[in-house]
Amino acid sequence: MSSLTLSQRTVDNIQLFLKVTILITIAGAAISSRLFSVIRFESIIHEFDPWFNFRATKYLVSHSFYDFLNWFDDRTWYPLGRVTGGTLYPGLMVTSGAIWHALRKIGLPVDIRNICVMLAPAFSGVTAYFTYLFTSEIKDSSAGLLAGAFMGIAPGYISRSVAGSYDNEAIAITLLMASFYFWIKASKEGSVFYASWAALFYFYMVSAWGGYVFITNLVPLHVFVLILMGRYSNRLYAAYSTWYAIGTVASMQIPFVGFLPIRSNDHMAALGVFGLIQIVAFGDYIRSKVPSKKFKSVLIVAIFLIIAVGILGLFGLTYAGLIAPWTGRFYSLWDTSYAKIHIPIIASVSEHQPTAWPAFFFDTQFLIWLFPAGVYLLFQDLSNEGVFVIVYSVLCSYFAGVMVRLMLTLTPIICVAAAIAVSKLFDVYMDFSELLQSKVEVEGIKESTGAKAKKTKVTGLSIVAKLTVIVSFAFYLFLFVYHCTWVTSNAYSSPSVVLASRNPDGSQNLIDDYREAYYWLRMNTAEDAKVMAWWDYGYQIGGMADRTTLVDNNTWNNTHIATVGKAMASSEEVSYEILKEHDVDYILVIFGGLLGFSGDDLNKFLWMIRIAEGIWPDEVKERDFFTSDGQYRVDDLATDTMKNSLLYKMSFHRFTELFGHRNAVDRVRNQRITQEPDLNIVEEVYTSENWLVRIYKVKDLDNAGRDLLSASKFEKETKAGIKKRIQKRPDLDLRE
Amino acid sequence: MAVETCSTERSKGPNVLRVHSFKRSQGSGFSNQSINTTTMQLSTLFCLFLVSIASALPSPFPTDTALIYDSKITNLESYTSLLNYLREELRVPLQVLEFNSPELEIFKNGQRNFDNLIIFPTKARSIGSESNIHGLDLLNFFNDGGNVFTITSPTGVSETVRNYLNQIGIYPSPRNHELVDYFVGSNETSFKSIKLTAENVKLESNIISSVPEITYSGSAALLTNNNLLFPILQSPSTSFTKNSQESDEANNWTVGTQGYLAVGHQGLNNARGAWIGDASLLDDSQFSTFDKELLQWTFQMKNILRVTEVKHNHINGDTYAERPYKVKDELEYQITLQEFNGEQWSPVSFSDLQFEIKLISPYHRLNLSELSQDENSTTYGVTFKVPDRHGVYTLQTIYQRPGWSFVEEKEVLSIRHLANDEYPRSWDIPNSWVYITSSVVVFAAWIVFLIVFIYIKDGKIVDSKKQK
Repeated sequence: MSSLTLSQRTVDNIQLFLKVTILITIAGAAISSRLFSVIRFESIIHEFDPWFNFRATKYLVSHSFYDFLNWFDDRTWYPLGRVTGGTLYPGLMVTSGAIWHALRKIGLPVDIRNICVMLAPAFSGVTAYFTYLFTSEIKDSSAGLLAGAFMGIAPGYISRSVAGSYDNEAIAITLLMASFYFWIKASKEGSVFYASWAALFYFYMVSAWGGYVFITNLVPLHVFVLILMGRYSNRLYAAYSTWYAIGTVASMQIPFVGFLPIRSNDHMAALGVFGLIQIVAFGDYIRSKVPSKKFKSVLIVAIFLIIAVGILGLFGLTYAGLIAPWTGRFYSLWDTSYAKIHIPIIASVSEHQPTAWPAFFFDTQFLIWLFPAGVYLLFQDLSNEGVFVIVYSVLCSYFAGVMVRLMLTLTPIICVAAAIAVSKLFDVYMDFSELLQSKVEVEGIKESTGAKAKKTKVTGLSIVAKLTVIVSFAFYLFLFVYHCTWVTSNAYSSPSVVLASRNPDGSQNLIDDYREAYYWLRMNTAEDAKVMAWWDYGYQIGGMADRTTLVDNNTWNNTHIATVGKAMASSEEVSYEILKEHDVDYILVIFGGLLGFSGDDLNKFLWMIRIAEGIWPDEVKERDFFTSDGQYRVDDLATDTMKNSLLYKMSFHRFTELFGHRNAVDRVRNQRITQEPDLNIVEEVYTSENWLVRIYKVKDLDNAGRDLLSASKFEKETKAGIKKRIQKRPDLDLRE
Repeated sequence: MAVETCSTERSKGPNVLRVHSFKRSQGSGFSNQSINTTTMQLSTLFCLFLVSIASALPSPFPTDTALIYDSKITNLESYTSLLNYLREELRVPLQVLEFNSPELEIFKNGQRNFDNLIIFPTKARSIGSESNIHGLDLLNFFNDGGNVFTITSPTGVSETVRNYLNQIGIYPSPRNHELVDYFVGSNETSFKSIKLTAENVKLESNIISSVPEITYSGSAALLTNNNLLFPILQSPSTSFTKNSQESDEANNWTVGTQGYLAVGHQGLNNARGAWIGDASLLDDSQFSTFDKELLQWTFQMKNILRVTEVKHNHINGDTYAERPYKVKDELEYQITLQEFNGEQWSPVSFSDLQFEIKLISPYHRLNLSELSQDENSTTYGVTFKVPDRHGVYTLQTIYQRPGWSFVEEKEVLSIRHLANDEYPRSWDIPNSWVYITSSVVVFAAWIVFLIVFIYIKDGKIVDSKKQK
């Protein structure tokens, strides 16, 4: 047996080569598994928010950056308009705009839509790389590679980064991992250089996603915990002070953030820790000068004083109005029913609902049970970096349980912790060096003791044990990859603009009603037509139909949304006034009753009512929409308020006609509709193939000065041939 | 096109149409240099011909008119003054049709067949060759821009006309109901012919200009509170409408001034209509200026308002296209109006013209003042400051007065916020000098401290301590 002797350099080179190969493969896997949506459907922007980002990006590439920054968007929130440039996180658009310009510079003019569609998968590769670097800092590069691989394909992250999911999160998770990596690096080495990089990525993150507050709080918390543990060091001081100073000043350059870092409660922790670390540094300096016994008492008093002053100051300033009070979103993080009672508009968003437990397994599969194991292992040696991961996992586990969308920020740390656990396991069980060594020893060293002989004996059994563990974990890993691929292709690759269903014979049937209707709007209505729809569809109407909307997914004005809710929930006379006041030309409603699509407007109706009730408690009452025994009904037993509401009428207009005036069944709510609602103030202009989208045109004021109800009544009576032969003296008010 | 013509060439002549025809003939003359004198003369003749037509036509609109009547109750021979007036003076192409004539089609192939209808009382229940014209058809005719002049009488109230009028808000008294006034005359016939006085005439409707001499005998109508109705004649306070066949005093149709005898109405599309309850007002015995003015008004030959130009810009003259408006900008708004008075477009003076800038509800509602006037139009204007709130505003002038055609000019504009570099810089604000100074002092102190810290050795200090 020829023994292989390799120089350290060769080993390093081979390792480097392997690492690079593995990382490239991971990136490849990450990107390709995100392309299901493009292959299954087409290269299209998904869902709701991405449509706005896409529209904003188009604006950016067709105008200058200055125009983009000061963009006043007069095609949304009619007639208020939206100062879009000052109320968005520009990071995403600027990134794709920069890529678009760069590609043009090198002679590759790529359509901006394709850049937007492919941005998320491309960045997922980078995320995997930064996760690798991050984990390498915490444990070693083998754990890093595992973490990178997990991160690349974990469904929890894929759910927000498939091709076409052009949302802030697409690049924000990359930036999150990058900031954390540089922070760990900086705090470990006390390097101003890395701290500056951390601040730079923090700035990029601030420009890209509102979730930057997570970093703003996690890093100070890490520092705070370390200080409490008595692990203060000058390295920590250098890293944190640099990061905070540069990061805060930089983050204030984003118009949407502005003075929040010094005014909002969300940012006070970072400021407080910044102050604290100065005091601690000072205390540290004093400690080096005075005897330690005296110092201890000074320290204890000082700490209590500081905490008391800090908390009192926070309350005082908040009370005085100098610091913005906690936002509703913040309260809803602690009390899951807070939003439901106080801010229905937050509760109405499905991704703000508490997470269902199966979702954790669905999104991370076997990583979820390795996650505590990884955290436990980190507890064992409790390094400074380990503390960061522990703090991160504890905080995020809670938040992910409260809000579905925060699952996204939990996924990276699950991947990291699980990778640490698996790699630790592999470190132990894949270590066959003992076996090789002992063989050499048996051959070479004759003066082996009895103990040594015993050890060689055990080897046989331990090999079996090791193999069992390795094989079973390999199987788990295989299962994980299989699960991830399955989840990605089945659950997360639907653009939700196009719905997929199965025909009875199993073939796929695409329901493309949304685009059909939006295209109709685009081609058949005046360019400045105002379209009223529930806010969910605002971005899509703006993006696909290019028409002015009243409200959209940027829910910045609750009153305006409530106005739309009131128009939908009120009777025709009341609604008509609202519609005319806001110059509404068309109303778009989503009706799933024919198709059995449960996310339609009638199912969202209660939210419209609740939001409207929040502003007009006397005019819109949720109770009136429920039957006396508290049921939400749309059939004959529905309440009069329900039957008279504009949305109800628009949903079921001509619905019975489709079933030959007999027993029309609403397939979502499984109720029979027998009556044709009487619709006067609007007229149907378009209904999509599966009746999913219905568009109504608001009628003009009656030319002869009648109200529209009596006008259409006269028309219907005449057409039905009803003649009034007997003349009665009309009962009229006195003429003024 | 007409709008532009008027605003740019208003100085060329008193009559827009004349100006237009001159322009055309001159243009053809100058464009070709090789035209010989004969063609020149011909073109001049042609031009003169055009001018004569133009000046003879009182209305800028084509006015195909149908007169619908029922020969059983209306003898057209007693309406020669009316017919002559329509044919000779108003020069409208007139078709006189029996109510059930097969030629009576108010819509043909979905297009309006006439511009004006005059409907005399009919005994029959409905009009049309097969009773096929319903109230809805008349209403559609009106909504499509046609003018309808209806006359009912105690002997003839057709269902068609009644349905139509009821929708507008006019409830004429049914068959056999007559307006009577026991305070005039002494016998049954004189009770029914009521001399109207000045207090029965509503001149504020702006439809007739003077109190006419009228002896009224016919039906009266109840009116709703519809704002688009402009009463012209009101029944005297001592009169009431009663059923001549059966006396049922509880069911008098109108009592006192509740009844109206002549009413004009105008749709939001500026189509006009008029109703009178007595056909004899139009016959040769009573045909007067009152009828002429009412006909002219109904056929849109007078009291027509037209906006020829709407202009708004920065106070220094920059337009929206050159420099989009932002909050707190000073703007000026101008609107040019003209009136068609039956002969030509002419300037018109209003003191109550208002301009609004609104975002859901108006921020400003300002009186427009007269700026200038020329032969055929008046320009009104106002300067104002844009509210300190960005948004999509509507600049509008809405002028709706009885008897005048409605003016509704709207323009939707977005008014942007201040851009990031349009705020004053920090050093322009005196208050900031404190902070700027303090930060500069801190910078300087820091640099001084650094120099001191680096270059002054602390050995000396230790020495001095030791020495002590």
